Formats: sequence, structure tokens, C-alpha cells
Amino acid sequence: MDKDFALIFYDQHKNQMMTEIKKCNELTGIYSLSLNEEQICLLLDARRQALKDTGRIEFGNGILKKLIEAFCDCPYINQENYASVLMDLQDLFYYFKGECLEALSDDELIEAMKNYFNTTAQGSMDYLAALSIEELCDSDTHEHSDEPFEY
Amino acid sequence: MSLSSIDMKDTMKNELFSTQENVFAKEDPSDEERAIAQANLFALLADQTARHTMGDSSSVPVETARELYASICFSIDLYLQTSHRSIESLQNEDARQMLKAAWAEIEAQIKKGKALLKKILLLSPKSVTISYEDTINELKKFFKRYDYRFFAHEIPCAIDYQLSLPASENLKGIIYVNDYMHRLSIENSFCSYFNHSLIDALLHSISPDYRQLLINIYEPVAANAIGLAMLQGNILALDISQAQRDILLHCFHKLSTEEVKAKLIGAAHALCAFLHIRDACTQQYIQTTALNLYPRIQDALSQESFENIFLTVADPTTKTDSGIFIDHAPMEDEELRALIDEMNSLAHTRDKIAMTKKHIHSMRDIIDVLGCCFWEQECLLLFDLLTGNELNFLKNFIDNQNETFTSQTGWENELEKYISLKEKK
Repeated sequence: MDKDFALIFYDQHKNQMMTEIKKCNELTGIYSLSLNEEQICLLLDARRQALKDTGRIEFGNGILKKLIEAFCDCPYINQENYASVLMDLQDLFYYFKGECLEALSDDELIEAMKNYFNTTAQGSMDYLAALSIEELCDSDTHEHSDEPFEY
Repeated sequence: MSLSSIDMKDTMKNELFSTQENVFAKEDPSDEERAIAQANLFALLADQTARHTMGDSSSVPVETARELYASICFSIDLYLQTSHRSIESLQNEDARQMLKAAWAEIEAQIKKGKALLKKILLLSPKSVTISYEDTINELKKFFKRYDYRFFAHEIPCAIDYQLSLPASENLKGIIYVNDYMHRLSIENSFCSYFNHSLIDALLHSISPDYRQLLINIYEPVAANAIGLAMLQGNILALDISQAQRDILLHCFHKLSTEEVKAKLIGAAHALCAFLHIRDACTQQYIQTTALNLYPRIQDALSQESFENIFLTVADPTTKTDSGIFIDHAPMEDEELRALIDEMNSLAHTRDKIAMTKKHIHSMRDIIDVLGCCFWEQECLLLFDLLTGNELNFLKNFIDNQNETFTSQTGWENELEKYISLKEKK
């Protein structure tokens, strides 16, 4: 029942979300980043799966637009990895959102993820994924190391 | 405070607000109607989720969404029921406005609930169990914790005390709590007719440690009162002896199922008449309590023992408070009229008192005499003669009258003053 309940909202809003994400290409164009229809579709399907996996329900146009707006100026993102990075960020976002027990707002979580992504993680999704929720919550006071992350 | 402000209709109506799925369950909407209604409910869910997260989060755990949705369904269901609307309203009316109207109804129910709690506290028996005390404390907390805008269907308190006639488990939120408190106030009101030391002694006969037990206080009191009504015994004394149990056993042995039930109903009627209980809801409650004795009676008949149903008051010293006017046959009407005429011809109050003591032996006659022969301060001398049990009887008699009730002599006002003065002392 829970799964059906969550998916109803996804199906209701998919077309609307497609349009919204397409519009984001206007903003990301200045960073030479864009998503085609197939990539958007894949991202929205991944969102559906991530929500299902984390047991969450999302209303409105989802978090993807906010992630695009926040990360489009990151130096570690280019057109080649753009769609896959977004997909990983989206997965991680919903994972961390559940883990932090609603202690962080969407904006705070995105900001914390971006801080790590642009500094210590140096664009590494593995590093980001390995962070504990305590580290993320502590992101404001965290003094990011200048040492590059060793793969 | 009169219990007549709560009628049976409320209780019956409350039964309708059973589950969150009632919005769909009570009617049989077409698929299209269902889809439109559901879409409107989901739109409300999106609004409520945004409110709940204060716009901080675009997503919530499924469990949170499910609770928010259950709250919306409960609230809308309440609105549809109280405004006598059908599910079609969800297609034609603004769902947000409907939710606001539902909140207004819930607020009215909360107000009603607070008044019920006040009544419960006022009439709480002096001898209570720990689970009763805990439940009362929890009910107080309910009104602080109840978050009807987001979780209207929830009951954020622990209600452990078992009622004699439990509230329906299908009820939710404030509707359940009000129904529970309504029933508890009926039980408390019934117990208030009896001397608290007798109730305490009766509960002691169940167990000296009755405070620790998960027992209902009203049930043994009602059972004994019903038994005494059948025996035409001293109802207010609450005590049933072994000899009286044997009489009941002998009597029930001879009766068919239908006859036993009729006898129980008859006893409930007699009990209500004796205690001047006029509230239909309370009468119904007592009647159902009486009928609920039937399976226990059936069981007891096979064991040839009524000891667990009709109890003997444990401490004999508590029996002395039954007074001189209680439980004796009232006088014939003509005889009483003659006595009243004679008393009214007397100049001195002490002579009236002496005649009262000599000729009157029932509370019904005392009430008649108070209403015709004892004026203002004169009543006080008569009240001095009465035991706490008897004064309590008079107080309950007044509480059960219409608000417009006034006697010729005004004895009811004197009684109020007398009792409040006595309490201050």
C-alpha cells in the first residue's frame, strides 16, 4: 500500500516535471551543461526508484531542479558526467534526507553536499557517499581539508 | 451540572466516524467520483505536507504522509457527517474550505471534550484505582498534545482505565476521546449517588488491593444496585447479603432467558426511578449494564453461586451511614397529604422535625415534605438530621431536575448553601 501511495504522486507529476527540468537547460547553458529528453526521463525514473527505496513521498516538482540549480556551477561537473552526477546526487540526497531524520531542510542538505563535493571530495561521488550523516550535519562548522581525496 | 446536555444521538453519531477510509466506505462512489475525490484529497495532502515541513522539505517519509493523509480523511469525514453532505461534495466544493470547516468542527469537539473532562473531575469517585488516576492525568494531557491540524485522527495519550461499556475501537481522535469521556462521566455520575465509603468498601470486597487492579469502579456498584432493585432492598446501602444472593439464585433458577432479561431491564428501570435519573443516555447505559450481567448470571447459575456478581460490602462499619430515611416504603399519598397539612399547621420548626422523624421513613416523602413544609432556614434543621448519604441523594435529585426547577419552599437553594458550608468546614 505504501509503495502504491508514493507512486501515485510520481505518476501524477511526471509530465510537469519533464517540462520544468527542460527549462533548467536555459540556466545551465551558460556552464555548457544540458540534459536531453532521454536523460531527463532516466533521471525522473531514478527519482521514482530512489523515493521508493528510501520510503519517501515527494510533492511538487521534486528536488532535481534544486540540485541542478545548486550544482551547475561546480568545477567537477562537465557535460560528459552531468547526467550521471545528477543521478548520483539525487540518490544520495534522498538517502541522506532519510538518514538525518528530517533534521536538515532540503536547502541545508544540498548546501552541505555541495560544500563537500566542491572541497574535500573534489567531485568524488564515492567520497560523498561515504560521509556519515553526522559529518554532513556538521558541515557548517567543518573545516574542509586542503588535502585532496585519495582514490 | 446536568448530564442531559449530552444525548444519545451524539454517541450514535460518533459511531459513524469510524475510520479514515470512511470517506469512501460509507458510500459507493463510481470510479470517476472516487478519482476526483482522491485527487482533491491528495492536493490537500501536498498542502498539509508543505505546512508540516514548513516548506523546508519537498519530501517526507511515507509513514508521515500516511498519517497526514489519515488526518485529512478523518477531518473531511467528520465534516461530511456533521454537515450531512455526501462524497459528491468533494467534487463540487473547495477541498481546502472543507478542511477548514472540519477544523472548526474539531475545535467545537475539543471544547465539548474539555467540558466533559471538567464534569468527570467534578464527579470523580473518591475511591479510585491507579489506572483511573493515570487515565485522568493522560486525558488532561490529551488536550495539550492533540495536534488536530496535522494528526486529527490520533489519540496522543494512554487511556488504560476500562469502562464498563467501552467506547468503539473504530472511533478516532477527539471523537473517540469524547465518546470515552461521555461514558466515563455517566459512570461517575451514577457512582456519585452512593456514599464514597460504601463504594470503597464494595471495592475492598473485590480485593483489599483494588487500587492496583485494572477494574472498573462503576460495574460492581451498578451490579449491586441492580441486584438490590430486583430484591426491592436498600439500594443506597449497596450491600447484598448471602441470604439475598440465595433469594436471587432461587428466583433466577425459575426464569427463562427472556424472563431473566426482562427482570434485569425492569430492575434498571426501577433503579433509575429510585435515583430520579431522567437522562435518557444514562438510563440506556444502566439498562445495557444490567443486560450485560446476563452471561455472568447464566454462568453463576450453573455454579450455584452469585458471590462474584452481587457482592457483600467488606467493612460492616461502613454500613451505618445508610440513615433513617433511606430504603423504607413511602407513605400512601392520602396519608402523606394529611401529614403535610398537619405539619403546616404547626408553628414551631422543632415540632415539624419531630413529626418528620416519627412518620417519614423514605427519601421520596422527605422530598415532598421539604417542598411543602420546611421554609428557608427551617430546612437546615432537617438537613442536620440527614446522613451524608441522604444529603447526597437529595443533591443528586436536584441535579437531575430541569434547570427551571424551583420548589415552593426553596429548599434546593438551602441545600446548596448547607452542603457548601459543610464542605468548607
